[in-house]
Amino acid sequence: MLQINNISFCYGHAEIISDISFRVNRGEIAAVLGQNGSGKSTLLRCLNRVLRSHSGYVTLDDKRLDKFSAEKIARNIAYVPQRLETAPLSVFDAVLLGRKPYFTWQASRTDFEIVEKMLYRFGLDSLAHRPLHQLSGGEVQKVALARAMVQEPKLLLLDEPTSALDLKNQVELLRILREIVEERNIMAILSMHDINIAIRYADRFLLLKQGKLIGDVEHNKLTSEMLETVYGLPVEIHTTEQNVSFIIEKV
Amino acid sequence: MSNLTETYTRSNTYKTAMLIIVTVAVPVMLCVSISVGAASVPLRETVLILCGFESQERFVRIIMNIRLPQALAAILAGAGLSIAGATMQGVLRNPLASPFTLGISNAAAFGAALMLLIGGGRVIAQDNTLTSPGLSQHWIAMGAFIACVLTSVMILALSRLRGSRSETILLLGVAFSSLFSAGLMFMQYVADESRLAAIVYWTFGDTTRATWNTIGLMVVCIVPVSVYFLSQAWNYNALVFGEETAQGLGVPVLRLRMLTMILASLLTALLVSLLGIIGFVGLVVPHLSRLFVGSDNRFLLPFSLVFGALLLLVADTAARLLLEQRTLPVSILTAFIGVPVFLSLLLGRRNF
Repeated sequence: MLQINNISFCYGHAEIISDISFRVNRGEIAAVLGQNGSGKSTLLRCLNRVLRSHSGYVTLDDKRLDKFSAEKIARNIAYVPQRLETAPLSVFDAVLLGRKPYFTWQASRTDFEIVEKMLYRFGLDSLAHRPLHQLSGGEVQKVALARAMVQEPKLLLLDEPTSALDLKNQVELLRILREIVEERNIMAILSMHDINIAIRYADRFLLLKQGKLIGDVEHNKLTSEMLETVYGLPVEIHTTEQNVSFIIEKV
Repeated sequence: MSNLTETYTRSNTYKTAMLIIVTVAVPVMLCVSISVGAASVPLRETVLILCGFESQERFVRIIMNIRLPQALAAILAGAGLSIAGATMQGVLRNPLASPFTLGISNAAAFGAALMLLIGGGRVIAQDNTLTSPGLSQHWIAMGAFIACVLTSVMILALSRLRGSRSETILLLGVAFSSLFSAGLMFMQYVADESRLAAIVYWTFGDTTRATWNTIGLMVVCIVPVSVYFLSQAWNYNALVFGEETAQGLGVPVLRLRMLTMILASLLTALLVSLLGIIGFVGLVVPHLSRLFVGSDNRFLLPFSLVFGALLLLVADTAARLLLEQRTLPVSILTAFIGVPVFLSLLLGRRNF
C-alpha cells in the first residue's frame, strides 16, 4: 500500500503542490486528473523522490521512502516521465536498462529473459535491435513503459503514458498495464488528460486543482460536478447499457 | 538463450572483437613507432630491447631515453584525453563537449604563460626545448595545472547556482575559454621577444617534453580515473535517456555529473600541463569510436581509451617523420587531421 502524507513542494516561493494526502491500495490503478499546470507531474516526481518534497512523507508498505537508497527506490518504484529522450542505443539496450537496479557490472541470464518476455508482450520484438532514435514517438513511449515494467516495481508512476499513442495502441497498452497490475498485485498512478480513457481503466481518481487535492474518489463515485470543478467546464457523464461510462462537454 | 538475446549478444561480441583488435594494435604500433625516426632502429632490435634483452648500447639509449618515453606519453595522453572527452560528452549530453570547449586547455595556456612571464622563458633553437631562467619546468607545469583546476572548480561551482545543468556548464566553459584567450593575448602583447616565443612554444602540445617521471605521474592519474569511468558505464547509458529517467533508475545524477566533470578536468589538466595543448583528440576520438562500436558506453568508453592511444601514437610517429631535421609538435598534426575528420563526421553522419 502507498500512503502519501501531507506532501508539499515549492519552486522558489511558488507552491506547486500543497498538503496532499491520499492512499493507493495494491492492485489499484489511480488516475491523476487536472488542468495543465495543476501539479500532476510534480506530484509524481515527489513520489519517487526525483523531487524532494518540502514537507510531508510517503510510505510504501508502511516503510518511509525517504529512508530508502536511490537504488532501493528504483527496485520498488518505476517512473516514466512525460518528456522522453531518445538515443542511438538499441531498443534492447534501452529496456535492459530497467534491470540496472538489480545488477552492478553485468546483466544475468534472468535479466535477459525478463527483458525478452517484455519485448514480446509489448510487441517490440521486431524493433528490438533498432536504434531508439529511429522510432516513432509512440514506439518510444512503449519502450519506456516496457523498461518500467522490467524494473518489477511495486509502484508504477506514469506521466501521461499514452500521450503519443494512437487509439489502438492506447487501448492495447492500458490493457497490458491492467493485466500486469493484477498479475503482480502492484499499484499504478497515471497522470492523464484523456478522461474517457482514464474512466475506462482507472479504479480511483485523484483530482488536482492549483496544486491542491480536491477529490479522491473511487471509479463509480466520480461525478460531473467534480469534473466541472477540476476543468472549469460543464460536462456530463453518460453510462451505456454495457455499463461503460463516457464524458462529454455539456451542450 | 532465445533469438532476441542471441542477436543482442552477437552484436556485443562484434564490439568486443573491435576492442580487442585495437588493443592489440597499440603494442604493435608502439614497436613500429619507436623503431622509426632520424636514426632508425631495426624492428627486431626494438622488440628485443622492449622485452628486456641485451642489444647495442646506441639503440638502447635512443629507445629508452628518447623514443619510448615519447611514445608512451602519446599513448597515455591519447587515452586520457579521449576518455575524458567521451565521459564529458556523456554526462553533459552534448557532442561538442571536450576539454577544449570547456576552456580547460585555454586555462592551461594562460597559467603557463603567466609563469613564463613571471619567470622569463626562452626557446633553445638547436633542440627546440623550452627553458625558463627564473622558474623550473615544474613550476610552469604547476601554473598550467593550477589554472586548469581553478577554472574547472569555478565552472562547476557557478553551474551549481543553476542546478548544475549541462547547458550551464557548457556555456560557462565557453565564457571562461574566451576570458583566458583574452588574458593570453594580453600577455603575448606585453611579453618581450624571448618570452613571447616561449609562450607560443608552450601552447604547442608536444610529447617530446615527457620524461620517465612525468610518465609515472600520468599512469598514476589515468589508471584509477579510467577505472572509475568504466565502472560507471551503465549509469552513463541511463543518463543518455535524460536526467529524470536516470534518476528513476537509481542513478545519482548530480553526484555522477560533478564527480565525472571533476575527474575528467583533473585528468585533462594534468596532461595539458605536462605536454601542452593537444587539441581535437578529446573531441574527435569519441565520435570516431562511435562509428566502430556505437554509443553504448560499456563499449564506447574502453574503445575511446584504446583508440585515442593508438591515434595519438600514429600522429606522434607521423609528426616525427614529416620534417627531416626536426620533430613537429603533435598538436599541429592532430589539429590538421582533426578538423577535416570532425567536419566529415558532422556533415556525413546521421546522428551523434
